[in-house]
Parts: sequence; structure tokens; C-alpha cells
Amino acid sequence: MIVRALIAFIASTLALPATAQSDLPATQWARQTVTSDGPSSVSVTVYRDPWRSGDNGMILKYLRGYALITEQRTISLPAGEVDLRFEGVAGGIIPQSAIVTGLPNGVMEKNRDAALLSPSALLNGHIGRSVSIRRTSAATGRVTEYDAQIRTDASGGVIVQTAEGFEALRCTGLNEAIIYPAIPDGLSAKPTLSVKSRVSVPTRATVTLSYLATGFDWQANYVATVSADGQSMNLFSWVTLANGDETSFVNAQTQAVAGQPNKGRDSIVRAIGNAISLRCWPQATTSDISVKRFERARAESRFSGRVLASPAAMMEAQSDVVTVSGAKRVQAQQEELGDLKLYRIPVPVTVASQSQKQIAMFEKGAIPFEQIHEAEIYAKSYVESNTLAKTLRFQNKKRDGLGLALPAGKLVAFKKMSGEKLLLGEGGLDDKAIGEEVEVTIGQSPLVRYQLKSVAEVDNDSKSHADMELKITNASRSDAQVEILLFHQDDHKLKSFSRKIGRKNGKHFWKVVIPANSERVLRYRVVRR
Amino acid sequence: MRILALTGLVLVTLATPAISQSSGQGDISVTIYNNNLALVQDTRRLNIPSGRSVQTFPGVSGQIRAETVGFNAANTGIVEQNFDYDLLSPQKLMEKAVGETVTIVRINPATGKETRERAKVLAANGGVVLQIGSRIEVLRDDRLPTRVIFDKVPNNLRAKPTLSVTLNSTRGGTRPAQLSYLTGGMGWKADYVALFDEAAGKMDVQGWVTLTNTTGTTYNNAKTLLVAGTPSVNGQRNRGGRNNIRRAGTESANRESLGDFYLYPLAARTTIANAQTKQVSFLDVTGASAQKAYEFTNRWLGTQNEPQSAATVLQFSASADGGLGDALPAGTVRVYMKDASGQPQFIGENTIGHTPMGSELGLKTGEAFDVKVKPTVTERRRLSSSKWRSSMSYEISNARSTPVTVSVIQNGLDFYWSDTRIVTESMASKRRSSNSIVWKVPVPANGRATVTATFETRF
Repeated sequence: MIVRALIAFIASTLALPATAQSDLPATQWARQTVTSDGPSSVSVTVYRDPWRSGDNGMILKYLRGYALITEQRTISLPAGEVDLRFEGVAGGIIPQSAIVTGLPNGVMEKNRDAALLSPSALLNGHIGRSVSIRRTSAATGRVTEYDAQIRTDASGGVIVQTAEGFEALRCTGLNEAIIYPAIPDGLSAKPTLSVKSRVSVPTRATVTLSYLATGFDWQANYVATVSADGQSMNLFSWVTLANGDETSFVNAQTQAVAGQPNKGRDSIVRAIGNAISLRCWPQATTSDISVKRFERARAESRFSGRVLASPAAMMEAQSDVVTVSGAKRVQAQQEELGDLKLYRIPVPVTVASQSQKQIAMFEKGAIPFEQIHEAEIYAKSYVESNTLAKTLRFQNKKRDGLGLALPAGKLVAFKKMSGEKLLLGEGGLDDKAIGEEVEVTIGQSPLVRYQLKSVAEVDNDSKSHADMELKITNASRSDAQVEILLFHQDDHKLKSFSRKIGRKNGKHFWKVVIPANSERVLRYRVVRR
Repeated sequence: MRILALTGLVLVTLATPAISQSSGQGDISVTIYNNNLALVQDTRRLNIPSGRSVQTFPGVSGQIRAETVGFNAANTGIVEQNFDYDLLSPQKLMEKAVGETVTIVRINPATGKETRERAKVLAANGGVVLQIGSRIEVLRDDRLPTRVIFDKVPNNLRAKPTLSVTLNSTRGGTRPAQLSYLTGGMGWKADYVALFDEAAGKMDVQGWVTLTNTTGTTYNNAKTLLVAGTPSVNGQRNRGGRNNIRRAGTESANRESLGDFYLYPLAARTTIANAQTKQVSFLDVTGASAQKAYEFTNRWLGTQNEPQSAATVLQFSASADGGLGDALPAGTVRVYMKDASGQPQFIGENTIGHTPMGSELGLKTGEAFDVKVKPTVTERRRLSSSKWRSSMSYEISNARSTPVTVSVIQNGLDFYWSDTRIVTESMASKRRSSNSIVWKVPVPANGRATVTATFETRF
């Protein structure tokens, strides 16, 4: 007790400057820790979720894409063996992907420590060691401290050894706390990346740290506005980025990469740090009032707020749109990156934690397109009236006003009707290169339908065939472009078509215009070979 | 003396106070295998008395495989070895105290006055039943604060699973004792950073050994050796996964080896902390030759309504002649390329298996945005009950401003019967195996090419 007070007294009165350490001879490899608390400049390149197709949108609560973060950090390095700790990195860092360059003598080793400072880590770090137990009397407010030794780890209740014997902590009903003398080695508040290097002369160095991090995603978003005459459309596109990490990247040079880089799953050592499990011996009493329930109710009444934020509240996505008022609109610039496409945002932007950001990609007008109704049908099936898919088809060609890389994403189509905008539907597209045909299915048409049935069947030893009738009905006020693909089993053959039939994608192809409020019928025979 | 004390104080007050763990470990050496397996050898200085004694070993791995423990000290024989995993907890302590006498301290909630009594624990089922003198009571039946003080803790109840060895020594005294055991929870793999320069056909590769420790124990100042191999454990064979080796090499790397496994010792002793991922460099090659190629693989009767991207494949060699010049331990290769501003950007990754030096590798780094293939089964005709004719067309498009060559691979040729015949083909194919053929199709810049072929099969 006295000794402790003495140390505390000396420590508080002698605020000794750090010069005591510089007395060390320069030749000695003193181990020193240098902490870099944040980058001076940062670049973020966002990659799409490799397991998500163009038809599926981003789920902001669960972003499965990733990002390459490249940071410049300026640090002062003393001579000696230096542990350089990087703070303020993304929480989703894939530590094995980290690259550190710019250290004068290179990197000896890279470490990522996931043992976190927590109640259980404190307890586990003090097994067999001396701590103090502080008891505060509820009646008198008197505080007493006892020296004790920890005898259990944090997994199943706490037992301490005092001068009097062994006691279980917090099974007594008293107000008790463990006072630890120090923090065990190697515990940090967050998983920490550090590198070890040997520095021969003190220097000020600019270090580049780059790493991949999970919890990001992006996609293209297309807004198609169909002209009043229905012949052409205007296509506006966004780069939509999302950062689900707890770290914000301020004034970051920002890029997004389109295409499909191969990405495996990374095994990352989980951070460890838990509460202490406080279990006691059986504590039932002869009373019929449940003590446990009573005590729990009392404990709960101490929390006035919510115990845990709901996931929705934790991921409150503020939509954030970059536009520069008055000046020219900021547009993402496309560059080639090997077999991928890189979209560079020309001005530094802040990629904020748990937020979505949109930057214009391009806008093109007067793009001719077709609206078709289509289906792919098994030729020998029975289908009671079913809807046809409504698809927008356009050519990604310069001639048609486009001719640029179209990264995967969602397309939402509107139509201008006497000054008002009407939603036609929404669909998705995968990566489309220049020159490709783009088809986006934006919904099912309730008015343009098909029906398939057999009108006659013969099945005996010598012959086996079925006569089929495919009827398309159009209940809308405009003509419908209909395209049907018919496929069949390998040992079947289609013949005796009642109308002209072509081939597409290795299948029979019927292309027909159904005038408003009318129907068309195709008859054919399915023969077994 | 005084300065020393002051320096000590400065460290305590200026830095966050920290205690260094005296773990009980001795001179540690760790040999880590790939498949989550490590051999720990721990030489401790033990004071072993003459005759029978029990030694416990704190600071062993939390995932120690107790049955693999070996112990060795001079003039000492092992009587028995125990691994106690009965852990101390309040409940266990109370259950073991049944029949024993403990001290009860009651605290008066109004005055704070303490009353001490000795009590015998009669039972600990649901609640604790005590005998105090002639009274029988249930512990804290009145819900008043009550301390229970136990006189002792049973010997075999431990804070952590503990290894103990009963020894029979012919002499007393301190001597080195070697403890060795296998443990799970430690493993390693390689991580490669490849910076690819497409125009120059070169790449720079750095190889890092990545080791992880989830054993629950920190190994202080350990001599560390990594073995590139997955020895059979518990008689289980280790079948390799995808290794991306195109042609296995026949060169020997200039590295120490153990049987068929290469060894990667760490240059200096290091501390492997619990929950730590540690990386140490083992390979640094600049200017190795590397090429990019396009490949598209079609399954048998594969037909697509939309063109599909061809794979971008990075081809390089592990040979001393123009390649990486080393045996490559299994791991992940992350490929980067410089963008227009000169900054390296990630362009994809893939895994490699343990790769002998001299091997040729082909890593799919991703799908090409601009190079696509649309395979179509244009016709299927039945010639007889066991003869089919299938016509295929492959339409290849290239939206890049440079000409490319795409390897179009048709698989599944010996689907069930191997007598597949190519009746016609618009360009000569190369047979890769009985199951697979390849066309190397040149496609002009911003252009298209089409390959057609007819196969005769039994199905």
C-alpha cells in the first residue's frame, strides 16, 4: 500500500522529459515504436462484388466488393529497430495484401495483431498475477482495497486468491471491481498493422502503404428516358460507389474498376477481445420470488437507451451526389487498365464511411432502340396464357450515339408523356464492350401474352408427333414486336411451320409484329426422330 | 542506480503501462507446416529434484496435441504425463467444496458491519446448502451480500489446460529440459505481389511468407522454420487443389530441403504473438518475363445467348532461365498493373500450389471486358442410333484497338465414348487431350472472327 502510494507520488511529481531516452548510445539497436496516425494523401479504387450479376443491385448493409487503398504517410523515423504502426487504416483490411514501400532500409517483417484490449484480455493477461480488488460498501460508501491474485481465465467466472483464501468474484452481491496494475503486452484497441524495419540514420520518410480492403462495392446506374415518339432514348449514367467500412477517406483520389478481376476468398485472423463470462455457483434460494429475474430487471432499468443499434440504423446510407454547381459537370473519365476499365473521378472526393456516392459517367442522347416482347419456349410444352418479357434492345455503337464501354449495373427506364415522366421498368445489364448488342429486360407485359398447346398427337410404333399451336395475343393499343425462340429435345425435330421461321442462337426463331388488339398463331409439328 | 529507477518510471508513466509476459517458456523453436500444424520445441531450464517430482509446463500452446508431447532431460525418466483440462470456475470450486468447511462473511446492508462464521457445504445443487453450527441454511437465501472464502483450491483444477509430467530423477539440480509437441492453430502460406508490365512483357514479383497464430499462446523470441509441404496427419492424404501449373518443372531450387519439402527459415528470431498474422519476405525478382493470353473454355454442347468474356491468363515461368528462378510455396498471387497515372492498380488474383522450380504457370487473373466469345450449337443431327453430328460455331469479338489471339478450347469430347471425330473445321485445331481441342484464333483489332466445326460423336 505504502509502496504504491510512493510510486504514484514520484510519477506525478516528476514529469520527466523524454530526453532520458536519448542518452542511449546511437550504435545500440534500440527498439522503438513509431505510430503513424493517418495518411497525408489517399487513393481509393473500388472493385465490384465478384459474385453479383448485373441484375442484382448493391445491398448497402452487406457490401461484398472490395477496394485497393493506397496511402502516403509522412513519418519521422529515429535510428534503430523501428516498429512502425499504421493507424486509421480501413477496418476491412486484408492484412496479407499490404504492401509498404519507401522505408530507407526496407521491411523486415509485417505484422497484424488482432489481440484486442478488452476485459477478458486484461483478465487473461493477469492469470497468476497480482491485482487489487476494490469493494465499496453500499451502506457507508467506504472503499477498501485488497491485494489478490487471479486464478481463472475469463471463460467461466472469476476466482481470486487473497490473504484470507479463495473467493469467487461478483458472486457475493457486493460492489466489487478488479484494479489492474498495467496492460498486458501486445494488446491494442483495434487490429493493428505494423512493420518492423531497421533505420541507420534518423530520417523523415514518405511511406506508401497499399492494401485491399473488404466492405466496398460499386455499380453503374443507367437512367434511360424514352422520347415521346418511342423511337429513341436518352441515356444518363452514374458511377455509384459505396463504402461500408468504418473509415472515411477524405479528399481521396477515387477510381472504380469495371470488368471481372478474379478474386478468391481471404482468410483473415479474427480479432479477439470479449467480455468476461461471469458465472457463479448455483444461486437458487428457498424463496419463490425469482432473484435472477429481479436482479436482471433492475440491471436493465439502468439502461435508458437502446442496447444495440439495429443494423438498419448502423448503416444509414446518406446518398451523396457529386455535382459542381455553375461549373462544368464532373464526369468520371474512362481509362484502359489491362483487360479492365478504370473510371477515374477527376477531382478528389471524400469517400465517407457507410455512405453511397454517385458521380456522372456519361450522357448520350438520341439513341435508337427497339422495344420487343420475347420468350424462350420449349417447343413441346403446354403453357396456359403467360406474359412475355419486355426488353429494350440497342446497339453499343458510335453510329447509334453510343460506342463506349458499358459497365455492369442497373438500368431504369422512363417515358416522357406530355411533360410527365412515367416509369417503364427496371432491369440489369452485364459488362458490355463497344460494338455489342445490349438487351435489358425491364419487366413482363400483362397485355402481350402467349399460349401454347397441342391440337393433335400421334404416338404409336411407327409414328410419333404432336401438332402444336402457339398463339400470341396483344391487348395493348400499339403494335408489339414479338420474338420467340423455340428449343426442343435433341431427338425431336420441328417441321411444317405455318409461318416463316428463322434461326437464332442455334434455335428456331419467330419474329412477328402483332398489331394492336389482335392475335397471331404459329402452327408446327414436333416429330420424334 | 537512481537514473535506472527514473528511466523505469519514465517508461511506466509516459508510455501506456505494460507488463511483459513471463510466460514460462524457454528457448523456443517453431517449425510450421502449411496445413495448420506446427512442431514446437521448447528448451527450459528446470530445477528437478532427486527422486519423484511433478513438473507443470505453463506457456504451452492452447491447442497442444497432448498425445504428441515428448520430454527429455538428463538423468531423468518419465513416470507419467498428464494433461489436465478440468478448469477452475466458481461452480467447480463450490462443487468440490461439498463436505468441506468454508468461511462465510455476511455484510449488514444498513451498517456495513461484517459477521464471520465457519460453514460446512452440504450440497451445491441448484443452490448452495450450508450447515452453520447447528443451523441449516441456503446461501444468500436472504439475498444479502455474503462472501464465501475457500481455504484451498483442488490441485487438478487449473486456470488453463495444463500439461504436467511426473519425473523420476537420479540427481537433483537445474538442467536444460526439452519439451516438444505438435499443435494446431498455426499455419502459413505464401502471398505474392506481382507488378505486371504488359508492354514490356515483364513482371516484378515479391514473395511473402504469411504465418498466422491462433493457438492462444504467444511464442517469444522463437527460432522459426517454415516447411513448404503438407505432411500427412492422422493418415489423411492431402490431395492438392487447383495449382495452375501448366507444365511441372524439373529444376532444383537453391534452398535447404527436408525430404520432398523445401525449408524456409526466418533470418532472425521473432516473436509470434497470439492472433497475429506475420509476413516475412522470401522472394524478390525483377524483370521476369511474363505474357498475357486469352482463353475461352466451352463445355460440351455449350451454347450462349449472350457473348461471354474470355479469361485473361498471365503466363510466366518459375525457371532460373528468364523466370522467377525459385520453387514457389503454395499461396495467392495478386497481380497489379500501372494505370495511366502510373499508380499500381489491382487487376486480379489467383492461387498456386507448391510449384517446383522450372514450372510453367498460367494464372487466370480475370475476365476480359473487351474480348468475348459466343458459342452456339447450330445443329444436332442423328445419323444412326449411335451416331450424332453436332455443328458448332464460335463467334469471337475484340473491342480492343490491338489484334489479339484467343485460345478457344472445346472440352467434353470424350464425354462417355472417346471415338469423337472432327468431321470439318474452319481452321486447324490442336488436340490437347482425348477430351479437349484448342483453336488459336487471331482476331483483328476492333473486329470479329468465327470458327465453325462439326463433331461426330456417339451421343
